[in-house]
Amino acid sequence: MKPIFCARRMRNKLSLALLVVVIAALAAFAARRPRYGGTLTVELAGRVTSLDPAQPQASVEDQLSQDHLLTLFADRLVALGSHGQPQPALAVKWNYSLNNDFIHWFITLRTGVIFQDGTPVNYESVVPSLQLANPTWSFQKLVPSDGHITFDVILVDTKIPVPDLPYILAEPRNSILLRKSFGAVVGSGPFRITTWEPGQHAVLTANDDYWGGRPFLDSIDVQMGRAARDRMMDLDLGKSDLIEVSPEIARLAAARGSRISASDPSELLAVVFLRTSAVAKDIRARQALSLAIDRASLVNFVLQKEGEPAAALLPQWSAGYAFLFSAPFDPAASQQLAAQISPAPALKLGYDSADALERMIAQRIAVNAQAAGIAVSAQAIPGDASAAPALDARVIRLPLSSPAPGIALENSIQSLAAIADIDPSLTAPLANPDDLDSLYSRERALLDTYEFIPLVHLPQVVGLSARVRDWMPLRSGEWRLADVWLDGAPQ
Amino acid sequence: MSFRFKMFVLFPLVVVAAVAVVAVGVTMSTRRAFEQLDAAHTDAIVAQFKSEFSSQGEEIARRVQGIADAEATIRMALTLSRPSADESVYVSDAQGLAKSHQLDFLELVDTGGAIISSAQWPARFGYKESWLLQKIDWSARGAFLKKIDTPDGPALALMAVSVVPVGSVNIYIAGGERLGNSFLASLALPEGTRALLYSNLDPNFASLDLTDVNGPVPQADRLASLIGRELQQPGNVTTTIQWTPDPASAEVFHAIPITGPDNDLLAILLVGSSRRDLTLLEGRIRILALYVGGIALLLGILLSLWAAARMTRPIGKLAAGAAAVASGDWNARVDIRSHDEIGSLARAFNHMTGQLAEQRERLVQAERVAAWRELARRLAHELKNPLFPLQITVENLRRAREQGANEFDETFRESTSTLLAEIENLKTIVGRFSDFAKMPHPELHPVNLNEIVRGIVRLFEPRFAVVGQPAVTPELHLDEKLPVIQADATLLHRAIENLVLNALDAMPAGGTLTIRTSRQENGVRLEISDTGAGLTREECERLFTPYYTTKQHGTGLGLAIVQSVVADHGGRISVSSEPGHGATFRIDLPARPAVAVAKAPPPVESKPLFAKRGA
Repeated sequence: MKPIFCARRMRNKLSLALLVVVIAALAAFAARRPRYGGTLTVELAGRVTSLDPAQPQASVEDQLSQDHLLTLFADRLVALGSHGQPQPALAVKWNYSLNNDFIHWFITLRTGVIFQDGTPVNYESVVPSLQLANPTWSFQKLVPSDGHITFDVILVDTKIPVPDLPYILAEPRNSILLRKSFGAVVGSGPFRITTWEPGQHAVLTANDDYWGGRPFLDSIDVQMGRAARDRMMDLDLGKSDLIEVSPEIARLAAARGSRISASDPSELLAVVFLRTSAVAKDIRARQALSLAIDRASLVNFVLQKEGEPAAALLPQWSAGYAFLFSAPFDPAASQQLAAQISPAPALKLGYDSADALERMIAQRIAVNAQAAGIAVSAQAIPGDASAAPALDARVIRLPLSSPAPGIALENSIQSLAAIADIDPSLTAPLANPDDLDSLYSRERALLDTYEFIPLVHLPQVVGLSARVRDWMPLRSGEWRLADVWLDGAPQ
Repeated sequence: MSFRFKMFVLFPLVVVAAVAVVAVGVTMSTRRAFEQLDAAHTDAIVAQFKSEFSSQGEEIARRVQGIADAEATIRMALTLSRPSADESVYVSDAQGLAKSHQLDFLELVDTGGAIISSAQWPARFGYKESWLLQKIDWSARGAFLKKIDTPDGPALALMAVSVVPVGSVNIYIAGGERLGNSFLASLALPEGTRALLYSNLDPNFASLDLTDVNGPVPQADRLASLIGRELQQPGNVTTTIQWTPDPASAEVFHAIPITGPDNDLLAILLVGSSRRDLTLLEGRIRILALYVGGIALLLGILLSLWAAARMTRPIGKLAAGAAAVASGDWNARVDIRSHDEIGSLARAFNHMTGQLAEQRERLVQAERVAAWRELARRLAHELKNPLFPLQITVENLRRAREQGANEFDETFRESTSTLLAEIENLKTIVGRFSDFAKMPHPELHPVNLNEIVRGIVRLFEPRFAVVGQPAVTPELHLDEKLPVIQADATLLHRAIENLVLNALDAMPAGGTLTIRTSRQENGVRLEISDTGAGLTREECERLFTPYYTTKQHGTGLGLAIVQSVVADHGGRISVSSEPGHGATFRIDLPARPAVAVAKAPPPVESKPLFAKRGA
């Protein structure tokens, strides 16, 4: 009897163990399964004063925050995949004309999509947004019929060849919105705006009628203009789920145990010589300053190793040729070059007074330059532009506007040309934006002018609470909160 | 200016001068007292500055040592002592540490002297702070003054250094506080004084480097020269700055050099003492002096009026007595009864006038006797000449009578003629004396002197050119604008005639007779000059004495008559001459003689001379 009893007891134990394993497996499966519900608390560095992309924001930081909000409540015709490839969104397909001129594009709109106020997404509701963002383009409505479903097809005439039109349509500025009175905007995105306090606070709730399916989150609470230290503190205390983190404190935050996520480099910090400066007219002064800057120290110390020393406009992952450029740190050569200039160059380098990183970068450049015998004084540029001092150069942030290198390069050049003395031949549209050779040549020619000095490529860094799941931003750092769900949220 | 007025002015001046001297003396002694007080304040502030410097230095050294002893610092030192340690992790640490330890400056420096983290200049990481590598016992040195580089330029700091040794590796902690207005605010300053600190950070004077408790000093450039002198030759220098036109805004500054550990001049402490109190006090002293001076002046005036009157009254009496004597009142006396020097002087004056009157009486008596003697001599001389022919004639008659009748008749006729002629001569002589004695009083009428002169010249024209005698040439220089004067034309004619006659007598060998008239301030002048032998000085002095003559047959009455006429017209006559160069008689006549003169008493000669003698 004893062996039988033992064998039964053994069987019972195995059954119990199997049951525990099954329950555990079920629990684990249940834990990984997306859940609906919950409010995601977001804290942004910038202060968004308008949700309309046609209204420019005060700073690059504000502009980035506006882009983040736009992705929540507005769609574009084209979306970008996780690797930056164009994907259908409000447009289900796009074709250029058969003669390959990249001037005439046929864009087929998705059917059955409505804005959050019930307005259907069609030619009439889409074109105003496109026209506002692209004033030179013209549009024509084509309505082909397959017998049962009527598609709205927009014929876009870009006037000049635009091979990367899908990437352009994926830019935040081409968000499709209905513009209402008093500056109100309505999108067709996964969330709808329910509370809006410009520059302060916004609450977005899930759009149950979203064409891509209801998002997991019930709502998103957005606090704007929070200081970096406060954002980090709120994250540590569990008061927020998603915060923007300055790259220079990401390492320290991670060391303290915070959950940090960094994108690929998506922003360039650079020094731009202003066309109004007399000192900057001498290329030797510009080159001497470039040689004097220790970019490695900027990355290692100032940015705490978040970022990459930059010798080119576009980061390596974008165009792939950045490694061909070099930005040597050679104080001796810089000193030699500066000594040839009479009188000795003295530069006033401006930085945004509200941007601690820019201030630190500018001061470090001043220290580097001083060691090379170039007098550089770092001067804050106040928010009131009329009170800005006369400057020779300034530190700027250039966000990577698109994963398409051609578009990103052209946009960057246009941004630089607005303040620097860039040769007009270098600002002309590229004949073939997809041709990396021509991109490289344009960038090489641009860098050889030393009208601007690339310093570092920065990633977008966010801090996440432990309950945030499926955080999968694009390489460029663009958020996709429609896929995010919260662990522990009620089913 | 009268003696009384001088006395009147002198007293107030002496009083005001005395008040001024007292006021100046009080002001100077007050100023000296204030200067001594300033010096004491300066010394106290400097001592306080040193004491504060020392105590704050100790506090800073303590805080820096606290950072060095902290667990985190030791852990950092241990981490960095490992091979290929990453210093970048600590790049921001200094800012937090400086804030938590209330330090303005803090740098963490590795064993090679490279900055790991800097609070005052965060961007300067990696660069060397070579001064920290000196072989110095930093813990023994304590706090010291140091020029610190910052992004905004150099700053002056009270620094301390601590070293964290880990094996063969040293981590230097260099921290400090800015030496500026906050440091100055910790000083307890006496009222009216302030402390300024000039940080010697730039090669040239920079006004922003001069601060007081409120920050940069307004009008700092006014102190540039003082600071410049101090920088060139460190020592205690003093200067006074008047900030505004108001003297009360003046401030005295004492400059005290402050040096670093290497004896380099890093700062200058300026102790300023306001002159306001002194200026106000000096102003009050001046006002008080003015009041006192004013009252003293008033009292002085009253006193001087009284004193001057009291002192000058006897002097005035003396002066009046002297004036009376001068005007001929030889009996004038001064009535002063005081027993002081003035009284003695008055008595002496009275004695002197008595003596003078007595002597004058004697002199007049002597002159009368002399005049009578001269008259007798002259009468005897004049009368003796005709008497001798009379005697001869009478004797001739007597002899003719004795000799015969024929000759007697002839002799009688001749003798009687002679006797008559001589008797006539005697009558003439007697008539002259009689005329002198009966000089008439002038009857004043408007007279043109030039006309009188011309009439006399016409009268004498025959005598200027007498055949067989040397000619006399008359020259007239008559002022045609000569005013008409009140005079007696007859008497003037007689006087000028006498002078012309004398001039002709003085030129027996011929010559030039010059007559000149001219205007004077209140009358006219007549000058009659000859080119004769001239007169001696003694002759000139006696010329107008009656009966004195230089001529062989003169009576000595001509010039006496001239002088009498001139005197009766209120005029003056004088003579100037040198032997061999002729003589010039000068008559000054008033345009309108005084009534008293016009009604002058009869001449002295009219007195009964013998009455006195008979008495």
